[in-house]
Amino acid sequence: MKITRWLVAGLASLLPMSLAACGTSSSPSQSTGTVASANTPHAGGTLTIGMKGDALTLDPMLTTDEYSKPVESLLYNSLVKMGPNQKIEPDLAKSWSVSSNGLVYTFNLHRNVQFHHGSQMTAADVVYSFNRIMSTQLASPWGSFFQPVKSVQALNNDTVQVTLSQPDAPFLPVVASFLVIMDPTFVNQHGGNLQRVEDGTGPYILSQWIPNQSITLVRNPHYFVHGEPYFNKVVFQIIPSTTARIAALQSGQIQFAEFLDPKHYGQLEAMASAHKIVAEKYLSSNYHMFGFNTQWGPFKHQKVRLAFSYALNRPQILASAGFNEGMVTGILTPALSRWAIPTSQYPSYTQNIATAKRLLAEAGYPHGFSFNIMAPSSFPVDLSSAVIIANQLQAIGVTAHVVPTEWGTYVNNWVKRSFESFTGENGDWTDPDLAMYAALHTGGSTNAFQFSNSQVDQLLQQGRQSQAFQQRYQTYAQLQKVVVQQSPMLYTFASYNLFGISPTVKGYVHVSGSAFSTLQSAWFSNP
Amino acid sequence: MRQYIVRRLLIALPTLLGVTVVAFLMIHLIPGNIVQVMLGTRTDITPQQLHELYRLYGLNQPLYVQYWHWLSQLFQGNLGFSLRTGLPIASLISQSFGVTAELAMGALILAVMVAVPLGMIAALYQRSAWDYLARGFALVGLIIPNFWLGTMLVMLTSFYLPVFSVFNYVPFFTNPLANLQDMLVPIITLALSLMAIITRMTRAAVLETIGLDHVRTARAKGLRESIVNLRHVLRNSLIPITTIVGLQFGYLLGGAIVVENVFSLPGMGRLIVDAINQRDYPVVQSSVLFVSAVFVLINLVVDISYGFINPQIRYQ
Repeated sequence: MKITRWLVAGLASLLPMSLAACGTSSSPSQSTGTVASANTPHAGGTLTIGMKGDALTLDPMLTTDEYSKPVESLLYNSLVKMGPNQKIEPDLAKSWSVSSNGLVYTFNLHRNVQFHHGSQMTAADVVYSFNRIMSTQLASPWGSFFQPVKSVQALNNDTVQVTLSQPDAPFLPVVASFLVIMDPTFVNQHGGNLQRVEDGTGPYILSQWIPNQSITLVRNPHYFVHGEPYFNKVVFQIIPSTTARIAALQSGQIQFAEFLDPKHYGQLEAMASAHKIVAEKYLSSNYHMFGFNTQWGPFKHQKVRLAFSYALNRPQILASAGFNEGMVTGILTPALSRWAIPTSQYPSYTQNIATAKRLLAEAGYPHGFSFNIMAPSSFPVDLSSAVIIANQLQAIGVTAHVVPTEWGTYVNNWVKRSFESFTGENGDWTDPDLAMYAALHTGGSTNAFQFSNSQVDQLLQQGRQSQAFQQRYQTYAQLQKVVVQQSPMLYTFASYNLFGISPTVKGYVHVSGSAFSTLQSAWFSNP
Repeated sequence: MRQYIVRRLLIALPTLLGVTVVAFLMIHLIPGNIVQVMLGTRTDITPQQLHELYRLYGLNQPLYVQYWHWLSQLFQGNLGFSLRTGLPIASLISQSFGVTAELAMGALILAVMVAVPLGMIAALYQRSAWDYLARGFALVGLIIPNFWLGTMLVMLTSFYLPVFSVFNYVPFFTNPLANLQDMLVPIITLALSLMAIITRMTRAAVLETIGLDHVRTARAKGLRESIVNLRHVLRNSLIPITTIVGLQFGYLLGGAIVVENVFSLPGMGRLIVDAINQRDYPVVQSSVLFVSAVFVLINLVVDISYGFINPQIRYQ
């Protein structure tokens, strides 16, 4: 009995301590729309973000994983950044100009920008950063996007001039997506190894990194944007289990988390309707697809691929594999609204079994055939998509065998082009050229489909070299239609990404592809 | 005894050498390598850059050279560095194993503390309500999978006992109270199935011992029932219980991986699974070797403990 009493007393004493440790209290919000609030920003508080995995590096020029980027986006700045409407906005460059022939970009830098370790950021640092990402020694996986850069020079302390060897319309989106400005002295001090250290110019500074547990950032008091950031600390808490992240949101331990698996959205929306959290859904610029090896058997024939496009019921795939949390899409998802054309312009997006059978017969396969679909087992949406696609293709006499494949093996087969077809996802690009060139150009580095079409190549080149938006838009509109007609891959749908946010977090504005960097201008209503 | 321990340790060496070969070959022979997984399907990279990355990670060398390089480092007491995070593997293992060991030891202690008395009561009061209760509890414990129980407890504690719904692991020696908050529910989750097994084993062992001659003799001598039960029944039942506890500890380390995942604890399970997914070869190899060494050591400790439980057992 005594022991029971002691235990109860112990538990009771723990309760207030734990609640105090939870940090901010969460008052229910009546708002169901955007989190952006008209309230005045307050400084203070600790924002804890629930992350599925730990960062692998803090060197943005070498980052390929999804968990390092959110952290790096609060540590570093680039010259320019993507805005909410997919337009380029100033970052460390307060303005820029482009020569009439599209070859020379001149960036005017903000003055009085400091690196976290105290040194002043100058044009020479920008030159160094360009040279670093382009160097073969670093072997940055993003380096080849800078191939058109011929030279970079500092005109003075605050002005940088970049000369291209040929006009390159996606140059600014490439800079926004992959270039960060680094301090050469710091990089050299660490022998070029920035895996665990940083010296950026960003709104937050690395304070502590406990591997597989948490990364703590503290406010940069010298940040060049006046007043920002507002949180005193940002903690990335590693909580791999989705259930545990939802529970942590529920109990107030974390105030911000991204959820990518649509099967949990119902649960999160129920929490939102009880005013525990604000559930914000944003259409992803990622798309799900069904890709062909266009050098394999029947898939060499464009009519077979197009027949498959007619045979698919995309809304059904979205409903079953994506829990109806998304939109049917072409190669450019509706998230890239400036560029994407409506899917109603694609005739093969309306399921038509008769047309599909006719095309299949014309290609020489009136009785169908059988083939394998490689599906990544760790991506449930793509695995489910493959099963549904296989089921739908039975209507045209085609037998598809779904082969669930472990991710490392999947990538290995993808690199070696050792597959007949596959389901997967792609995207998160900020410009149509980035989304299409490497994937569809003959010999393109991510053209695993081994697709080659002279019209597509020509339009891709044209889109890259045009400068005016309208001209580029026309080119990419035509290109999107041609690609759907050629069907090297069949685009199915783009998912929503869901963010569970505490109602106390105000001022958050979502930017596709930069979901975490905009936290620099968010604040707590009650810090 | 000393000779026995030394001999067992010497036998362990070729076993562990075999583990290095198996661990090395298995991770290297599955398709996909660290460079491919790192680059994924989106990066735009030239063949020169690719060659540079292979050189950087030492993958351009033949397998036997890579194996010998790793082994020679091991002989110098150097577990190496993670290819993906750049961290020393020794520190990664020490952090992660601390969590897993605490979870497994906690579960083991809790299971023994609950299950041995429960199994004994069930046996001493055979076919009574206590016996049926204990057997029912054991059956439920065996039926419920720990991933389901864990998931339920994660959600329930977040609603009704947020004090125990903590996903921020704090080491015991840093803050015991915060550690308890974080670890209590995972330990209970992991312990339940073990409790069931030990309860059943204890009941069976005690029932077997209770009818033996020496117990009847002890009672005939007029010893108190509690002394008979503790000194003569329980002690003689401990050998099978110890065997099962020792064997189960190895399984606990495996089961801990599932529980770690459900409760987002940064233990060995997460370390190894993440490393396999990322094809972080040295981390996988060294972690597997470490866990194997621990397993060998636990088996040795269990074997030695027999001698203390039953002095009739001698080692030659």
